[in-house]
Amino acid sequence: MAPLTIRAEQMRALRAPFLQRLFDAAIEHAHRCHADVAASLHGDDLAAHVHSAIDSAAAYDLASQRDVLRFVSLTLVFGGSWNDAPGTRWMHDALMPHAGASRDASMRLHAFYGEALARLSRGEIPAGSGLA
Amino acid sequence: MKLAGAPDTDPRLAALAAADDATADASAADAIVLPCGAVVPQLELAVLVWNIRELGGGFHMPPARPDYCIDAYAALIAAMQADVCVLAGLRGTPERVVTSQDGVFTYADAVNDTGIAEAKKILASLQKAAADGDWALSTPADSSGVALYEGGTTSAFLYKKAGGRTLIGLDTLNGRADATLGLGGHLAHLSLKLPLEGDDPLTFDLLTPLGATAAKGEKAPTVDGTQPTSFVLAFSASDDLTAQRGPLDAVQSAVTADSRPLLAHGSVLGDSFWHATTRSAGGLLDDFTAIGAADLERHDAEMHWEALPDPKHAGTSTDVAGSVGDAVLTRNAEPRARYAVREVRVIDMMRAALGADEITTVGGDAAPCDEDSSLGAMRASHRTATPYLGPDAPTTPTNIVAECADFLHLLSDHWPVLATLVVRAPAPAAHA
Repeated sequence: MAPLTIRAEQMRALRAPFLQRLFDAAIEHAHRCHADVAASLHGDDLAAHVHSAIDSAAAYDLASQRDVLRFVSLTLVFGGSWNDAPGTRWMHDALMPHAGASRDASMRLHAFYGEALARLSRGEIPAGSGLA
Repeated sequence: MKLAGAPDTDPRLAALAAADDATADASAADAIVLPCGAVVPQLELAVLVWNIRELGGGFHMPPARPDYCIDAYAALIAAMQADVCVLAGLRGTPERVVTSQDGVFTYADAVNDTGIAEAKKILASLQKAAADGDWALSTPADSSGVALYEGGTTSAFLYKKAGGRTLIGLDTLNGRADATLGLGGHLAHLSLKLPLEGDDPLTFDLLTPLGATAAKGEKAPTVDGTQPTSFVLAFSASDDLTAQRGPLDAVQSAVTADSRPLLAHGSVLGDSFWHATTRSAGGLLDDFTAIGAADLERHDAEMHWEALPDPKHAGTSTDVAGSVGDAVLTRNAEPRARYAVREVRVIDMMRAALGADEITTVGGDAAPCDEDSSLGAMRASHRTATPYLGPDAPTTPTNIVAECADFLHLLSDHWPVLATLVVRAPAPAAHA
């Protein structure tokens, strides 16, 4: 029997309801946990930011709702595009599957989240680089 | 009541800590349907990196290797089921071209592409040894088709076209010159399109040093490409990489490579005991290493004297010593890593050169591997064609290893390195 191939447009249709639910949850999460940042974003800026963050999360192979919400939190605090700035490059590296890092993206996010909290508590991440 | 004198807490720390607590009850099940279900489009690719010292001629090698050597290169590439093969160390032969016009003779320096001619012979042999691969050869050249060299050396890429794989291009990039590692300042960049069933084709970018250290005053090759965002760098140095970490660090930094899995086994064949001893011990009156090269019993009897340390010879393939001169690096600058190195290993050329009946006694205790005895027939041809090996030498394990080493030195002092890579698709936008 010939294998069935799911075409790209079929995949998009399958993905759409999941993404909408995730988007709604992320917007609610932003208003609940990052109210000041959410309030500072005008018009559709918050929606655009959350859309972009969900895309980035998928690119880092983060797929669960919990991981995506935590990732959205990180982007609301530190901004997006971590790969572009020297000050945030380490964040991008922490989520990449380097040799020696965990093979599981969720585990890498967990380790990175802990590292971010630790560095913030030591005052090692200067303010002003992100949205917060 | 706020504690007097308490340090201010970073509001970002408080927000992130609260957000972490808030997500504790969120679902840990996948919410984003990744392409192809939960599997990222990817394929496995075997890349063989082989620095064939002075292929095309040089101080130690003639412009053309014997046919059995050409067949040996092809047989090993076929046996390892490589998809792409980087051939480094190709030399051109300098020559002077004389032209005559109206009775006036003009002399001009030129390069005879003897190394590339040898690579074409390897391709022809490979097309017979692995016909189903539909192999092709690509070498760096300028816009008019003239081969590019640096330090009199160039590189070549063999790749399988089977399965619809196509060449996107081969260009030249700026790299990092380092005399310690024998590197010029340029890289050759091969780009292939790899079809993937049911998905968009993948792009595979492979870089390797174009040539060797440039001579003083040498005209630099034209740079006609730009460095890709993510790539694999196949790297072969003339020096021991484990002893020279600094230069390798500099090369890695120059191309911002982010992964450097150094080999756990040597990839450059060391000299045998008596060859090393004759160079370092001036007290030796006679040197029998060129007579009966595979007769170590004779060397021990004729050359050893009590002032020298006891001879030490490899009796199995695992005893053969060498250094690390090759590496495979990756650069992953996109959010989803494009390249992962699943395994990098040195091909055990000693086991490849052993006959099937010799593997059990001389092959060491390694598990059977693809290269085993793949070059046995070519080594037999070498023995027939090489009288200095000593036709009457006793067949002891040390002599068998010595004979294999003589054959392998003719192929190259570098042993090939096989990198098994995972090539992945770039991340699509989740909202695409």
